[in-house]
Amino acid sequence: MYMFKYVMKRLGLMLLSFSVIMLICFVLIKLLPIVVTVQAGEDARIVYAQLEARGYIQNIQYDANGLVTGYERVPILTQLFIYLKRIFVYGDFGIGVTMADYRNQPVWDIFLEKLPPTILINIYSSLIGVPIGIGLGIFAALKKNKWQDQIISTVVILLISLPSIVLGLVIQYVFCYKLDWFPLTMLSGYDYFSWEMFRSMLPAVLSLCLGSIAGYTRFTRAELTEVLTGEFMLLARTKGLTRGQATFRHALRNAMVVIFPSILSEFISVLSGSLIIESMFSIPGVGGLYIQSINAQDYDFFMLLSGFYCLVGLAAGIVVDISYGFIDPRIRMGAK
Amino acid sequence: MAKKWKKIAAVATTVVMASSVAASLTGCRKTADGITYNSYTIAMPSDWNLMTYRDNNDTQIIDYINSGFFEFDYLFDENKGGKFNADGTVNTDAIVSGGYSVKYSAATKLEDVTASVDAKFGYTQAQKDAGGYAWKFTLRDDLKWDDGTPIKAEDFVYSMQEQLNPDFKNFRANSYYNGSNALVNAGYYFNKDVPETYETVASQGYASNQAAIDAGETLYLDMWNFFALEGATTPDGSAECPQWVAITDETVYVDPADGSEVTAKAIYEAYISDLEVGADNANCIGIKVRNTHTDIKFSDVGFYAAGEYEFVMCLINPLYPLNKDGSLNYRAAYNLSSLPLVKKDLYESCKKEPQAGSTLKWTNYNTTLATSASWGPYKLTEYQSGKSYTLSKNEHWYGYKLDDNKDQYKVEKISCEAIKETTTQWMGFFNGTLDTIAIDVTHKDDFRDSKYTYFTPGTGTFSLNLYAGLDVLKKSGRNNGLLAIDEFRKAVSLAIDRADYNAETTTAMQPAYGIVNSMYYYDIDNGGVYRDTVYAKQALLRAYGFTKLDGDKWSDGTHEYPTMDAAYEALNGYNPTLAKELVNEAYNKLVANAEYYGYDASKNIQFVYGTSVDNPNTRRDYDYIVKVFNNLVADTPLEGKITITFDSSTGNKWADDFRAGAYEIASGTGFGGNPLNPANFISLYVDPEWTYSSWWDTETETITFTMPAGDYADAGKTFTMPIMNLARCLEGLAESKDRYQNNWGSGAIPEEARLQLMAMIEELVITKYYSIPTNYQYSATMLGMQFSYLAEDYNYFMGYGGMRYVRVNYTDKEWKSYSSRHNLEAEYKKSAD
Repeated sequence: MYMFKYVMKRLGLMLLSFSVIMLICFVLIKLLPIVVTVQAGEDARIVYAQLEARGYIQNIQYDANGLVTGYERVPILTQLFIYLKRIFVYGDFGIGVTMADYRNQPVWDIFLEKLPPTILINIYSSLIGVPIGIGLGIFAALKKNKWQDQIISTVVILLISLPSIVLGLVIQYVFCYKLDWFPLTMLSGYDYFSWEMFRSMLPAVLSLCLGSIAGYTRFTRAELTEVLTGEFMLLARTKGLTRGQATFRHALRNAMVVIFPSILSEFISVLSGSLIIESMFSIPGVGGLYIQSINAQDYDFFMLLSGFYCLVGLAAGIVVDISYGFIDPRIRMGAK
Repeated sequence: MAKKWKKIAAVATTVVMASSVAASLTGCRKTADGITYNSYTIAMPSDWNLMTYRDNNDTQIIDYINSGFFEFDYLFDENKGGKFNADGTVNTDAIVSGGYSVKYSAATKLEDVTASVDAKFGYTQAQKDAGGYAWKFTLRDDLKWDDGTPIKAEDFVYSMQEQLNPDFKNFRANSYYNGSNALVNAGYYFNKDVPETYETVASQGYASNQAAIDAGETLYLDMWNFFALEGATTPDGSAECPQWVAITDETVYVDPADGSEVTAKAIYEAYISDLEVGADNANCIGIKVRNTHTDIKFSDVGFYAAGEYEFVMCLINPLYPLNKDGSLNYRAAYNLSSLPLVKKDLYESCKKEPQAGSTLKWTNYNTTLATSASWGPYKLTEYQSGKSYTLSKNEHWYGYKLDDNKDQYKVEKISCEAIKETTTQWMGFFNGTLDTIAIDVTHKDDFRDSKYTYFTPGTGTFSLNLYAGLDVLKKSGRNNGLLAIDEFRKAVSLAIDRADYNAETTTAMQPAYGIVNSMYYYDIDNGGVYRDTVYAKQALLRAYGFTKLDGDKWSDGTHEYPTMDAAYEALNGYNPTLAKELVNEAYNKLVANAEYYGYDASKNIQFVYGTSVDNPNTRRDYDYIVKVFNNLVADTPLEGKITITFDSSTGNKWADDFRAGAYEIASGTGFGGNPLNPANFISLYVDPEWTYSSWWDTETETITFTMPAGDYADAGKTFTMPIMNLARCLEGLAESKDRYQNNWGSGAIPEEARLQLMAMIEELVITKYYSIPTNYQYSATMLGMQFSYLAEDYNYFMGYGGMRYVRVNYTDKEWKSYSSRHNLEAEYKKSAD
């Protein structure tokens, strides 16, 4: 029961934090000067009328020649009210206005369309990265200071030092271009679970997970090395457990208290997409969309994506906290 | 137990390794045979609705899913066998270099019906006699949408009504109430929900404000723009000051700036001369014009069906798309080729009510696969937002049945993917998955001379814009009033070695000296290029310091040239010696008038180089500009005193920020488009609505000139008028915009006279040194070996033949096989020589 209360309390706080963050986001983006682009061949009056129709500006002023001489911004709180009404009354998250790739397209539909590639690449990256990373970490810990450990540590340092853009470039050049094992870019279409689609995602997945593998390996090795030197490990061996049994049943489980939350946080961080990797492998994910929406000041896209990342981040915090209790029964959240 | 764990570990490792190996073993892609043209884009099209699209990204799809009533084609020499060889293939040898022809496509007939249209369209007898205003199009009777639905004249009428629908305010509506395709009453219909406007006194036919008052008009003062009273209220705060207030109104408003109390009447009386017709602030006095067209119906707009397959469009301005013998001329394909067409049932289903807080309706027609319809040679068959699209042949397109289209449109699919990374694009081109690539600066040395490289001229001219508004410069706090000194800006212009600049910072751009490049024709029928005229050449020579000597001789001060053409050939706009002299002059002026220019000798002079993005290209350009300035001031009193900082924080607002003086140097900015109307293009540089030189008051600054000799009414007369007025007169907008006097548009006066006036404005723009021309648009692209162009020479109207004429060297399967066995990168590096 105390766990339930704890979760409810955290959810309540999460909702409060979410509201405050979203309010700040809305106000900040609306404080920026409005981008008005009148291109050659366009009538400025139509451009301003469209902005007025979106509820961004009002009272457009014209001189006696019909030239636009000024306008007023709609008060931010009024805009906020309209925005909330649109979402909660009509379920309407708006349409793209300023981003060339998404003009006149429903923001929510685009978001849903772009989420699966990002999630899948994240999942594949974790599925490959976590077992390999932890496995290598265990192996390195068990072979501490031996040549196997030295090699693993060297590779780990190398992978951690290289930014994902370099890893991506090397993978793309070697495996996609030179060896032609994979396509240069992710395939088009929505058939995400076909083998061909999976294959086209692999270069991006590898680019993302190599860094993760290095991280998990280093983390696991460090934690496990410390736990393996604990006195209870000696006790476990003296009571007759094999080295493997002692390592996996006792040492690894203790080490996981620290490792598991890092896996979750890694999962969450990759969920936000990688701008560079997505751009390099032409992955139609949400990674680049957020930055683009800020640059172009596409309000509706920005708010939806801000809300998404905010929710993911806040939810991740709760999940990570709760996860401690499952890994180590001694930890009880909210218990007095 | 340990063995068990070892087994698990071994299995896991095997699974992971097997995945990779399996992936590698299936490395060979399955390629269904066909003919697919694979390209890439930086930005995906998102709105390919002809009524609403915003930019060229969208035309990637628009160009293929729509048809033209008339179209350009190569001119084939009949003496060399005509268009087709005996075997039905296109006869490349018969192509006339630089030639073109205009043919019927979706239309079968075009008739001038000005004399017979309904009187409600208001053509005078003189207009009826002259003709060229109302045109009847007869459509083919086999036009169909991609689902087989027939297209008839009523579909075009419905589409035009939706284009001009005031409930939507579609972006492209202005094409039909402004400009050469403006329809009678279209503007009234589009603006029928605007209750009233305020028009200038002059536009209502009055010579002075008093004349208007005497005639019983009430004049209104623009309180917001003339006296900055936006937000002012009455003393008790009960009412806000409206923008327009009658000049007789004595309501007191409190000036928010200083708390003083003012009335419209008092302001008008105090500034009566500033607000007079022709004065600086004449546009702040208006006459309220009520909209008398609020009840107008679309049937009153000059666009209606005249039969099942016939419609008539009634234009405001005459257009002459037919030659005297009744054949089509270039204007048919250039001005009248395309009209908006939407599939009625689909369009109706795509209409959306205004969003909460909004007032305008909107549509998502032609923004997704499901909402798309085609009546062009290709149809959209795949579309993934932000990722890719595929166009496939539209089997219902009438054009495939035409004999004239034999051996054309061989590409079955056009596939395009959004690939933003340059390295990915090049790898795709080298491994054969992309059929085209734009050459960037980093690859130009390897591929510029490739036999697979094609150069395409564009209409754009790009300039180095220098902010010279002294008031704003002084307020910038950067001690940079120097830029307001003409000599300094001229020195900068002379310090740029344009050939070197283009070679160092661009792929294929050409050095620019004028603001108009060689793509602008004043007489397309006879090959009349503005840049090649004697007036345009002389204007450039004068602008860059050449002087005319006796006879045809010219001198640049150090060399004498026997002919004008010889001098023009030698023109390079680069004179570092003179530039340094001008810097010294500018410095002396700066020091002598330090207070006027806000100059503080104890501080450095700072310029900000502004740009929308921070990338290798903008950095390369910035570095070059810094080098130019450093070389310019070396060994002068300004050496070491000027610093230029890079700022990409302006983002999308770069143009507005420059105009507002947020930064001083805007490089690579300019204009393009409208290549058959050089007068319009030149006007962009002086039009307050467009020019980057926001401080240059072309509505007020006058120019005095004598009209060139010739057989026309104004010949030999001397005029003094605002620069902007002259530009508008040359555009022939005097009739439609009454504030501009005298119609010297195309056809109204001899073209020779117009050319001289155009050259006069161009020279004026260049010698202001606000916009220093540096690059003429030119791009270089490569075409992969799977395809080749029909003609190697660029044709003004046909380009290299486009998708219509592209030749196929390999099918997809053959190409896959070929590209996997050959080193394409090495092949593409081969020189054309």
